[in-house]
Amino acid sequence: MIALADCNNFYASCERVFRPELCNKPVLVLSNNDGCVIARSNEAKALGIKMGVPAFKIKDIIHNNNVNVFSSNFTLYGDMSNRVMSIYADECNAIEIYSIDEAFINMSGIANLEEKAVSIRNKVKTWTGIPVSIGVSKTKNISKNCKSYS
Amino acid sequence: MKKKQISFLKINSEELKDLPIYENAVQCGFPSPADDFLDLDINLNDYLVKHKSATFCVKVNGSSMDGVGIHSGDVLIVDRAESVQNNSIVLAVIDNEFTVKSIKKKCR
Repeated sequence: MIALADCNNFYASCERVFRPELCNKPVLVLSNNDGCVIARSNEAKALGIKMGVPAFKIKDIIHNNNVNVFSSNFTLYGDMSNRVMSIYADECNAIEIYSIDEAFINMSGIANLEEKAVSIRNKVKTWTGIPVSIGVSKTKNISKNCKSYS
Repeated sequence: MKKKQISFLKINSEELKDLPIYENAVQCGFPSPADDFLDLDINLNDYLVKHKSATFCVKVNGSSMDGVGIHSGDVLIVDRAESVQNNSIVLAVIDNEFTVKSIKKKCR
């Protein structure tokens, strides 16, 4: 069995780890040179801000809703990603890093898959402060689709 | 604006060479001649950091923890993997702000 673990709103979550006052507040992270939106907290998604939208087009939404906007800090995201990935690696015998915030985890030989997935999720949250979603299935493809329901 | 109580530092995880431990170095008097044959090395990264992925360094501002020997400007190694016990010193979030406190559990 294969699991796909994906960090929720990864860049926005990274910024939040060091700014606890932003919990439950809308957070956006912008691309290089503050061009487009590349990460949104759930609160920002709820305001209808779409992925990839240029920042100047949503100036009013940002201003009216006190949205917290960050320039991207890839050194930080890389560091947090390494932490998360090494926790996955400690928890199983093989992982395949798929992107900065996603990895496939080999779950073969694990009896209680749900319990294992929950324990990985809790460990990552406690150790790093990053929330993750995990989907488990027979193939990578199905796991990736399951993830959205977890 | 109120000055932040703590600020995070980036950890440089460059390999730190093993340093020799001189066990008797702080004793007064004639050092043990056997020290020359001791082969105890200490790696400060391994010694100070138990859970690398869960460890963050923070610099303290303010004097609220002077009583336990944590002074303004000190750097703390914070391990998020550790569980909290009575009298633990923790980096807590109080009123949405990071602050260093010691935990006192009350009996009921």
